[in-house]
Amino acid sequence: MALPAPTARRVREALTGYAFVLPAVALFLVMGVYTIGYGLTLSFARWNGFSRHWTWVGLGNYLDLLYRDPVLAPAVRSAALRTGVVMVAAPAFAVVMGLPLAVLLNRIGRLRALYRTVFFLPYVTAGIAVYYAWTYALAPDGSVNFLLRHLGLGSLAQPQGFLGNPATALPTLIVVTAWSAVPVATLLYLTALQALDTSVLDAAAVDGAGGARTMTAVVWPMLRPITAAVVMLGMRDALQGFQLFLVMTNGGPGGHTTVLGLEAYDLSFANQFRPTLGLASALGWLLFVVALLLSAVNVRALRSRA
Amino acid sequence: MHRPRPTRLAALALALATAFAATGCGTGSLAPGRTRVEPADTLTMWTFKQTHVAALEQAAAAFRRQTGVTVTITAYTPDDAFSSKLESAAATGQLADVIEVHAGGEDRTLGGAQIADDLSKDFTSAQLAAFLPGTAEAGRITPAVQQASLAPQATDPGVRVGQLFSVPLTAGTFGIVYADRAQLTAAGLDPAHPPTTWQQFVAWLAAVHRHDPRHGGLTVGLRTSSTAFQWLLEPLAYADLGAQRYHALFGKNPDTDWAGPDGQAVLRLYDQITPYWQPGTQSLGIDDADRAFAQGKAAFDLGGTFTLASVRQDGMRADQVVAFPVPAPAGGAARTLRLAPIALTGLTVTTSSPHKAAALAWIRFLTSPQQAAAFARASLDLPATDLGAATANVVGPQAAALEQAFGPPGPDTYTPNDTTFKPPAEDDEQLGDVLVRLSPLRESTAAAAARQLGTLTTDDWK
Amino acid sequence: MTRRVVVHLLLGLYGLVSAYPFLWMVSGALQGTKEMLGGGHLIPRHPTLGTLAQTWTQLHFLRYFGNSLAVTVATTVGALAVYSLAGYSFGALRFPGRRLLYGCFVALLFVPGITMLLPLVILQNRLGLLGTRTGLILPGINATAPLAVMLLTNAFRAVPRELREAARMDGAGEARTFVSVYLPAVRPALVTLALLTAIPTWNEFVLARVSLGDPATYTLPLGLQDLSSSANPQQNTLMAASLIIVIPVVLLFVFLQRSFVNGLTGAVKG
Repeated sequence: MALPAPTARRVREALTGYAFVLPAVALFLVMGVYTIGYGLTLSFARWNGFSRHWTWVGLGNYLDLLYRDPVLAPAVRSAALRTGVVMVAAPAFAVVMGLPLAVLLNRIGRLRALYRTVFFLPYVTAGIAVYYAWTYALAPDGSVNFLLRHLGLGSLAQPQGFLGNPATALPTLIVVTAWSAVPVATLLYLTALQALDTSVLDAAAVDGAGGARTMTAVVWPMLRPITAAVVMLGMRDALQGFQLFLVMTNGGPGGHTTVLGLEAYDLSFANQFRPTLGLASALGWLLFVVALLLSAVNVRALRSRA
Repeated sequence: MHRPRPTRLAALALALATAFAATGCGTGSLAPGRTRVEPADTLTMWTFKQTHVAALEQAAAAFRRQTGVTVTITAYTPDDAFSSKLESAAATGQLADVIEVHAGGEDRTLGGAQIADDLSKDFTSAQLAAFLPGTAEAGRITPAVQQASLAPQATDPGVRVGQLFSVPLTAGTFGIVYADRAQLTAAGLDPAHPPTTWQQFVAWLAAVHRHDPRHGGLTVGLRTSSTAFQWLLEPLAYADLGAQRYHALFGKNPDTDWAGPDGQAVLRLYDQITPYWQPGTQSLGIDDADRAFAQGKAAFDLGGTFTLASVRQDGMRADQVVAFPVPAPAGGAARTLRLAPIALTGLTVTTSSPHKAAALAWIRFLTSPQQAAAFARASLDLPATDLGAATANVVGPQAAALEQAFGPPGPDTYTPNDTTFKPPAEDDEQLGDVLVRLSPLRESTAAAAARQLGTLTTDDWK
Repeated sequence: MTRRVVVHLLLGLYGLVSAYPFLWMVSGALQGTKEMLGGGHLIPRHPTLGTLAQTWTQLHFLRYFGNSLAVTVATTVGALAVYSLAGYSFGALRFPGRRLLYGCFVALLFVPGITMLLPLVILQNRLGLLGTRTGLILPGINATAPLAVMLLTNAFRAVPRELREAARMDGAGEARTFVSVYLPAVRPALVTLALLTAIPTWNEFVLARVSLGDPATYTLPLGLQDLSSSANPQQNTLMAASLIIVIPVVLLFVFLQRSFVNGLTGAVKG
């Protein structure tokens, strides 16, 4: 043995490390590198998905999206605005609903597992099945209007349907988005609450801090990393998600719920074969950069948990 | 696989002979029996029309009995599922042998990309004469089409004059209003005398709506907002302004385009229907709207000739419906608006298909008068094959009556698929969104909507 | 006492909100076409299992179910295998470049799926996997990479390093240390990952829609979409189909929820 024992061990550990990440890296090299490279290259070209050749446009697609195209750029801007609203509102909603639910769940002994299961339904069932069901429920003659009218809240009912009124369409989609994000938020908060050192809470109680004060002064700061994670996940979904919008409104009524993810989908698959695949790809990469920047901003909050 | 018995062979020969006689093709490239020589006993075909599947499968069964060739039909719906499927399949060369496409649309896109085969050598002008006038050449590249394809935003780069990328399967037109006979009668209107002017039409809408505000509205799939633009506003504008001023709406001159006085006037007319939409129509897809109408949740349904098939499939009897073309405004350029029949869907053969001969045989079979009639009966859609006086027998009196809306080329006839005067980058979905925000959403005025349409048109020329 | 009632009242109320569309699915699926066409009721007057049975057999949902199951199981097992190795490597072993590599995997979280869709289909074709289950499984595994790597790295990091030393003293090799010492220690995290992989895979429909061609290979969400755009679909049938999609994942969650929650707790603590 030429190497001293600790060094040999370290080399062996490193080799094992490389060997163990190999499958993940190999899979990524096969599936990821090609698709990412292809997508990135396409973002510099004009192509309708069919013709034999791409027309290179350099940064043209990015410029068109950002300001140059007189029709597209304003559309992208208003979609960005809506996406921004969803990015702020949906995670905020998830936090505002998720935390109190977790606190309540943490208080009870019995039935917790049952509630947890029921609360998790929206996450478990998220997909087109549930989006269809919501679409029916929110229609003019759907069950939500029916219930409101029978509960004496007829003034809240939407004769045009919740997705048909431009004033309520986007807020409704935000609520449905948040509705499916609340479960994970609740569960993360609940596990964090259970992991909290009870002595901290007891000490706060001894100091004479009331429930509300304990919450704001002691618990809330300790939950910051969880909040950061919930907000981060919510923002990412808002930035990239489009399935719910595609299934429930397809951007309607009158384009009032077109978000950036849906815009990218339309540019690639629902644009009557216009050569806009490159634009779609470029839009995707712009979203990637925004998400990366946001996470960089958020990373400090996430770090503070260590 | 069982072998065809002699009777079957006789039937095959007979059928092919009729088909050739009917299409005026005695010495076609495809002699009877040739498909047996080709090692093609399976063909694949895609369609985007759910209402066509059963009819196509029925035809495929007949085709197999006669030729031994199995045709597998697959439908991809809704439209964005179909186009994403086409895109991914084209990118990978995994297309079906035969595809039913939007005529004058996907056929050219696929053709320009050398994905759809040029059929100009396979279908002579004489053979194409078997189709309804105005539909036969839908898949043809004219000099104007080629010129337009040179624009950077064109959807069909690569097409060349003279090429033929599809043969029409179904024909029809947009701009037809369907009304529920019972609701009309209940509101005191006479279904036997449909409105002849736009003003009367609006009065009808008002009357039925007054009688039943909950289920007496007008519906159309505004979730795809281009429907309102293409099926209602455009025919209305044409009828009001006449061809020349209508074309100018899409031109480069801001005084005569949508933003000008003509455009504003048309939008004011259009705005008259705003109070009478079925609640929630803006959230419905095209099929949802037809279904709502068929289920009695709306009294009027806007669509095209193909809408009859859809509402019948949703359980409504044809004699429960009155259909009439969007009527011309009183004092407009056209006294009575007629609609030109156009090819709505066409059949293309892909270049990647190893079974071109069989694919062509299938297309000829499907468009032969006998099969076209059977197809029409099963799908309730109007075939592009000219059946002459037999049409009424085949599609039923109501569907045949739709043909009364058809008109010969002329100043009073609106041709829905004519885009020669439009900006190359026009996106009807964007224009439709403007229109939906005017009506039913009431978020803008006719003047403001006109300005927005004008701006979009101007930008689309850039 | 009253306080507890209020707590349960609030929780119960949100429970209703959570289960809202699910309740409608159940209600719709239990009604016959006749009752549905008559307007339907929240609580079926003539409950029947006929709609479900019909959807299951005549509308091929049995076949779609099989396809979904195969894709979901393979993707989940694959993800567990590949990323428990990677997570162990990142969380328990030390080697140069691991931070960078870890960062790369996490950054994948932000690559928007829509941009990858068409390239992915082209890649599937190049690999000869277009339209096959494997064609869905491989990208499915790869798509879980960021989440899986984060979750499992955290879990493995929380395992005391002394265990590793002890195993080495006992003469266990790397493979055995991993299998018999570390894997059992992170079991809850593995269950969590399994659920977080299985649920989205079960519900996935965008990639399936563009890459599957033959209806015989359709997964459940595609079957539902196909049904909803077919000629004159009845709402009770759609609800029955939706229920068929939803029930298995609900059951899966019910059975695994204890470990799932423990796994999350571990991740949060770690």
